[in-house]
Amino acid sequence: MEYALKLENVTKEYKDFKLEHVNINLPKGAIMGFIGENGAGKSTTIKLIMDLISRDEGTITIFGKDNRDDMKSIKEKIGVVMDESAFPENLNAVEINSIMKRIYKTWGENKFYELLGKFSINRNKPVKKYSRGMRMKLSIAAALSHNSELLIMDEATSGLDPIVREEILDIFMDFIQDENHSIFLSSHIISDLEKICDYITFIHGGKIIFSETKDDLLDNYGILKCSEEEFKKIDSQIVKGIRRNKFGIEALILKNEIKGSYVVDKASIEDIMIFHIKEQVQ
Amino acid sequence: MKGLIIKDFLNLKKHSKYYIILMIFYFILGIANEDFIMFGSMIIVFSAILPITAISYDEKNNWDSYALTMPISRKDLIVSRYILGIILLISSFFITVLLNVVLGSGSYRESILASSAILAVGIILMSVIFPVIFKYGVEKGRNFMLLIVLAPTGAAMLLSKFGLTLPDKEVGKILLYSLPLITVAVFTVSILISVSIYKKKEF
Repeated sequence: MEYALKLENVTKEYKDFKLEHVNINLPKGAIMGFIGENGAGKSTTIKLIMDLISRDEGTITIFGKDNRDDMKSIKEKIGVVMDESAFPENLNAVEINSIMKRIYKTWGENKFYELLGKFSINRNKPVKKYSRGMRMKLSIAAALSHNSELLIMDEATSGLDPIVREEILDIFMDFIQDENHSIFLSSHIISDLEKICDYITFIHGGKIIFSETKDDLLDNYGILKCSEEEFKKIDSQIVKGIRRNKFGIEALILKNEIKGSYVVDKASIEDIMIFHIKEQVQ
Repeated sequence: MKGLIIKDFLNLKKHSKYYIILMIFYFILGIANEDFIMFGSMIIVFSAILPITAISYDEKNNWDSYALTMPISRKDLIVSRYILGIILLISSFFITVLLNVVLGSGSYRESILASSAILAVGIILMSVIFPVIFKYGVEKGRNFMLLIVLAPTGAAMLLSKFGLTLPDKEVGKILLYSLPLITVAVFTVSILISVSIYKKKEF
């Protein structure tokens, strides 16, 4: 399989935080959701991918090339939207267009203005008068207005209202129609990711807890509801996390491996994530 | 690279009113005195400060880390700022010389010499401050600039107190003629230092 993005054993150590042996494989043509609570290491991972910070160990390849060799030509084909950085506040979209067409060889002015129209962004208004959502949309428009084959989005939909989020997800779905295109999308709004992603990668405390196809996750995991006594009979190997309340036990289990008749509900991606964190805490 | 420099000019456009008013003031002063060296000194100092203002905007917007996700290298980011400074400084130089030739009363040769000396000081000033800014940020860089602008004045005052006189004319002449070489050397070393600082920067 060809990979748009591949991280192998990537490690980065800070005084108070460590990203440990991160492995991520994003096949070409797929959308991967990158989930985890705040401070889990999502932004650090994205910064490592873009070589904004240097890794201590491991390799990162984009389109099969190491991200430290020839990054300039690799970046020509990547569209990045980051949470904290944006265009100069004093400038308006027309000025930004005139800058970007000198930065990207493949910059498409018409495409950019078309997207701004679609997002109803006033092109003569300076960026500092934009709302947060408009800033995000401007960055997304820029990311899509050159020959991007890979979109990397750090919290691109957080802080936006549901209608705008829906619009943006539609645009991502359009983009992914081309089988050479891939998206790596970090978010803590899991419902968004559940809608569009092929793969879900979950990071917690700087470690990857799982990185699987969404269908496998939904097929394999279930929520078991039972009493303490019943729970004791279950093979602890298949239990991935538990939650006790006054009615008994709720547990995240590998539902295909349970023997006997139990009540097993569907687990959402959010359930899977929350139960995994709970287990870590205990 | 061109995109980055255009970005800086567009960014500074919004900021330029203040400088234009000051320039008009010194321009009128220059007409009154038939001498534009004061005007030249001022616009060259502005030209050394403007790139710092541009960098401070970029710092505020977190632009650099965004720019680095585009087909722009760390070296491009650094070099573009030096180029911006040089464009501003050299245009200021030509404006000063032109004004002195057209409207000034002093000799042609003298005005070029004086303007060149100011230009050299402007380039050296920029070359000394830039690496500090890239290492520690604009805020600290500005304080440092104040220090290095004030330090020579203080040193001169101290020296005269201890009865030391200015170096004689011959030494001054040698200094003046070697200034181009010193300027180019300082400028080159400065770029090299800044690029190596920035290559290690973590965002």
